Amino acid sequence: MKSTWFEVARPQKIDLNDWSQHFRLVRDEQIKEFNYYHNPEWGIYLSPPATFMVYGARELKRLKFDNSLASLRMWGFVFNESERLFRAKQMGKRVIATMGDLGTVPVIIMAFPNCIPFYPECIWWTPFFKESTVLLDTATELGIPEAACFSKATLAAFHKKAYFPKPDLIFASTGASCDDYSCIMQLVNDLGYEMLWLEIPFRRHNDEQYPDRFEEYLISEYERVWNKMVELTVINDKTGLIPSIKKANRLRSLAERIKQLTYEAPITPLPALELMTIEFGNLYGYADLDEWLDIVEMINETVAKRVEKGIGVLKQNAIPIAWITPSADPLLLNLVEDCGLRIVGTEYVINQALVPIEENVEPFRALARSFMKASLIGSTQERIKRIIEGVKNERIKGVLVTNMLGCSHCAMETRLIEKMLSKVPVLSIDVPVPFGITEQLRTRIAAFAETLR
Amino acid sequence: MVLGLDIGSCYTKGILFDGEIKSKVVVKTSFKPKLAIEAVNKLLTDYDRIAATGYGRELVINPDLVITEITATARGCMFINPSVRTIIDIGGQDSKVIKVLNGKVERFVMNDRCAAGTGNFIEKIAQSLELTLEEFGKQALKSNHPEQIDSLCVVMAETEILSLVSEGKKLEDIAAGVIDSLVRRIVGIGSQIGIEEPIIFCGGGALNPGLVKAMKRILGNLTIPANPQFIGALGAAVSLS
Repeated sequence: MKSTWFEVARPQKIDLNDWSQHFRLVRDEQIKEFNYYHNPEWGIYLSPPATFMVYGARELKRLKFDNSLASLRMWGFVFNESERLFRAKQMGKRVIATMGDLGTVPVIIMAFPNCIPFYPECIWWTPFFKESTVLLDTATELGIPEAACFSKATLAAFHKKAYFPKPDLIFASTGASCDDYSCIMQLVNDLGYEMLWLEIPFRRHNDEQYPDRFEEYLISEYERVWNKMVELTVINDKTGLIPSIKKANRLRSLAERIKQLTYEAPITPLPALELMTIEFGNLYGYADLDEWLDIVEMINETVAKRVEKGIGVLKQNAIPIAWITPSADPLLLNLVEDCGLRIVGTEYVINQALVPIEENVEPFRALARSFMKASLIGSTQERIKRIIEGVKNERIKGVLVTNMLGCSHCAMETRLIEKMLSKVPVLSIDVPVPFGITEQLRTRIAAFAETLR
Repeated sequence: MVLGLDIGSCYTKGILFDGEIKSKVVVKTSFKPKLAIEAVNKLLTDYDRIAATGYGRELVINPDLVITEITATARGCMFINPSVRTIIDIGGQDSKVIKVLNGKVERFVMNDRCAAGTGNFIEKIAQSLELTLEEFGKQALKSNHPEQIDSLCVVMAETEILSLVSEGKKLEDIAAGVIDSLVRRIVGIGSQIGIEEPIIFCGGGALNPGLVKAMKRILGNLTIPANPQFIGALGAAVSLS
């Protein structure tokens, strides 16, 4: 796993052209090392990001990426997810869609051999990578209002049957997750896709604990997931849950370690775009958990080395801020750093996938407890508790809140968040439609950076 | 001597600053910001350093300082009145409400997604009514009973105004209603961060007497600086000085 150039190269953010140049320095043996599902007979995914422009992701040209081999590996893997899912089907694996649940159902599915969970909603980023808005336009034609959240791309993807194979099973969770997405899932259901509906608890109020019966209720819902999987696979071996939970925990702790290293280092060792991609990987390992774990281990090593050497990708005087709600447009993450800011805290609405799962209690109980501890299904106050702590100890100098167009969650919470964060400068911005980032938006972010400086 | 340059969407403003404004020029940007910068450079030549702001700030060659118009406007206003608390800037392409405290920008909000909260709103409606901006402002000043314009979108507002015209409503009351609608929108945006006195109203919008009258009526006591459209350029120059 060594390459002279990659070992000595100064950490920096580079564009597609640079990556295509640097890729020639990757040794052939190394390229062959990285396969889907650890199977050398199938796809090799290590390739420069420009490769994916061939598949229509031409808007990648707007972005800048980390120049480490680990990040190259990560991008090759992440951008190949669609192909990987089709290959999984060809290999005889079962592909299971887990919608709206945020991190728990995949752990159950991974307990079954040859079953691959994936999140169709992660396709919401696709229109921002592609030059086409066909997914959003198709969703509108299928009945979702034009101004609805970008996750409506999921409905179009199911309709077009081109972005992922037909799932062998679909689990759809409603409740505290997202009202808009619940509507989208119902429309997917109306397209003729059968799904097993789960209900997750409502959002709790300030500092309120769920009653004990909620834990039992969630366990019963997980039993329903299990039974449906048993029906599909004709395998009923709950011992598989133990290694599945251990792997999920390994991933969660690695992601947490990378975040902490990055947040606390004097010079930012990893760009925000890569960091967000890692955080989202906690949900389901981009449909190949074992390979994703290897990738995250490699990134962890890279980050640790950079921190040890005191080198990184941003200037030392970059101003630390926290980011609330992820941006659908990845370019915003680049822009924020270009304006002299660095991310040292996030509240990306995927917190169910960050909480460690107890390993010394019955697996479903452990999953239920982990799920109910997550801040996302808590009050707004709970969501931003860690950020307020960061502000208090002066680790966070400002907070950026992104509002997703058409997201009712954001529409309700942003003003509340602004009020609760009255002791620190807050910038709230609307994430524009694909290709909608304007000079005015850049000016706002630049002015926010000037205000903090 | 510092050249402060504010390359806005409608006009490019330049000042020569040496502790005070020595001279100033304004030229139309007209979608050709580079030409506008050149034009200002030809008119104002006696300077050592350049500070740039505005949407076209990145187009200035070899500037000594580049800052956003939010910071520039705040610093320009604080130069005029160090105790200013709220700044309302209505420009052609956007409007801003900036809160300042202890010499720094505390918070800001902008309306830049829709023409209805910008000077452009008045310009478009004035065009529809076949009035110049100056004539429109003078009409609005005459009104004692502004019409209620509810549409938040410039296109819808045009339709609403057409209805008012066909109903025989007075032009002066329609003009005042249009301006009131703009002011309400900006005050609404500003209320997100709170509008506190002392207030300075600047930007090209502050040259419109009808708009100034409406602002004073709705917000009470506010100050209009001399040459309000040059505040951004002044702030850039002050920042470099």
